Order: sequence, then C-alpha cells, then structure tokens
Amino acid sequence: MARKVLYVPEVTVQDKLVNVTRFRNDTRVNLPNSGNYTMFSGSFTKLYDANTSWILMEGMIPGGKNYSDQCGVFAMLDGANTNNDTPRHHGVYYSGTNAGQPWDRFILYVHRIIDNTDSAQELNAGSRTWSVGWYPRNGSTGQRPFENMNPNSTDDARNQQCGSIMAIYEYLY
Amino acid sequence: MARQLFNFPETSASGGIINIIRYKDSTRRTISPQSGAAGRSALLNNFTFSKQQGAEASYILVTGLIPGLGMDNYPHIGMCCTIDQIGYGQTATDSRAPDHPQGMAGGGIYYGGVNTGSNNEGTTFIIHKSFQTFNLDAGNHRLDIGWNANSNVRPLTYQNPNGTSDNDRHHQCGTHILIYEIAR
Repeated sequence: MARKVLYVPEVTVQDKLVNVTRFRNDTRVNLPNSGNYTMFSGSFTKLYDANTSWILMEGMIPGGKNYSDQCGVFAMLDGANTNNDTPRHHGVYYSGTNAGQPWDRFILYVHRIIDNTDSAQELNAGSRTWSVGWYPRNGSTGQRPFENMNPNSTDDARNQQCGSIMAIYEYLY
Repeated sequence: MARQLFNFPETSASGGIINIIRYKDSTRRTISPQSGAAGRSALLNNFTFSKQQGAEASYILVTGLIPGLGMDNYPHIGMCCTIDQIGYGQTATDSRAPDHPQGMAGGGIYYGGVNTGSNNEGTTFIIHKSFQTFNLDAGNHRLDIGWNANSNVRPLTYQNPNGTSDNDRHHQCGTHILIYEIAR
C-alpha cells in the first residue's frame, strides 16, 4: 500500500553497470623496438565471476612519429589466450600518418568487449590486471606502433603534455 | 491506485543502463566502393537488436571500434551510423531510405589514417553516437553503419585485416560495438 501511495513503481530495471575503474598515464615514453611489449597497464578488482559479468576496456593512447604500419597490438586481462589470432587483438587498433616528424600524430584506441565468447579465465572475479601492448604475429622483434607515447613539448613546443586513459567497465549480463 | 491515477508506468528504469547488446565481428572482408545510400550498411549491415522500453523511457547510445586497411578515398565521404535507416542525407530519396529527413544519420562516427590505398596503412573508425533525439519504441530495430556519398567511394579497402591476407605482422583484427539502452 505504502509503495502505491508513494508512487514507487512495481518493477524497476537494474542498472547493468557494476563498477568502473579509471586509469591515467601522463608520462612521455620513448617506446622500444620489441617483439612483445606492454605499454600501459594497471590493476583492478572484478566483483563478479565470469558467468555473471563481462568487461569493457575503453581507452586511448596518444603517440608520435610513425614506425610500424602494424605490429599486432593487443588489449587484454590476465588469463587471456595469448596465441596468435586470438581475441586480445580485437577491439584495439591504431592509425596516424605515414611520416616520422615530431608533429606526426597517432591514436591507439581500445574498445574491447571481453565476454563469454572469450576465455573464462580472463573474466574471473578478484584482483585482476589489464594491459595494452604489441606482439607481432610473425615474431619480428623490431616493431612498435609509434616512436613515443604521451608526447609533450619535447617533441614539439606547441604540445602540452598529452596523456593516456583507460576505463575498465564491469557490466552484468 | 495512486500510480494508476497519475499514469505512473508499471515498469520503469531506475536510471542508468537498462540493457547492453554486444556486437563482435572478426571476419576479414573487402569493402567495395559505393555511391549514395547503397553504402549505408557497408561496415555493419542490418544488425537487429531489441529495445526493451518505449521512447519516453529510454534512448540508445552506440559506441565502438572498426579496424581497417587502406584509406582509399579522400577522408570526407559522409560517414553515417543510424537506426531504422533514418536520415541518410545525400540521396534521401533512394528507395531504401524513402522520405526520411536528411542529415540525422551523419555524425557520431569518424575515421583517421594515412591517405593512401596502400594495404599496409591502418585506418581506425571510432563510433560514439547518441540517439537521444530519436523516438524509438520498444521492440526490434536495425543498426547500420557505412557512408553516403555523391560518388563511388570507400573509406577503407579491407575491414578487420589479418596476417594471412594482409601484412604478416597482423593478428586477426576485430570490430567491437556496443548498443546501450539508457534510461531517460
């Protein structure tokens, strides 16, 4: 009765969002030539198990100066399948210009959905780590998506300090 | 009784995200040049999803990433991302988008990369489009992503590149898109 008097609806829809953990990195880095490198990472707590919730990794990394046209970039949680052609290479990509001047700019963008089509180990509850990096499929060790991440006035005096962001969204199925 | 007197809905969103539909595609495909509204579904074709609540209760937000290779044409070719084929713009009289207002399909999607048809150069499409001004009822709807230009063009040559058909440093890449239903 009280519910009706106070206009509370009989049914409400539960918000699918469980939790968001945010990360920032404002440090300029000269990236190395490598065959397997993590350029941005962090830790968070996943509240529900693999059957209850899924993850969206959403973020971006600004870069400067071209290097490898492609190098097998990945975005993943620990426990992901790291074989060739696996889902950690989906929902992540970069592009920019085809030149290596300090003002040549790149965006590495991450919008990876990690759900029940991926390995269950990647979605376990508890303390978890995420990472973004590259791993060329052909095993080449001299690769990188661009020469530096988070460029600043060292590269071009017009730059302010640029920064990378990542948000880890946990959603209910 | 009071709820009924004041026309309060029996079911309502408590705020926040009512539902999220996930779309993944990791099939490499060659993208053909298209002119007019024929290109409207070249990157995502008629993906059907169900909206749970009526137009007064919720709206749709679409976010995502599409990886591509080879920006074949000059960048501005009228990218569009739309629901139920509303508002294709350039050739709105096309039989596949009859009588819709012009322009609403555009915006909320953009891409960048090297201005070349070289199959080594990446092209990244980022989608972040709110349909808050669209009145979408509960039930099934379709999402389409592509372009609508006044000439035969394409913004990329290959979608979802891989290491078998393209440069061998690639792993199989994939498109990831989310359709959020959000309470008003």
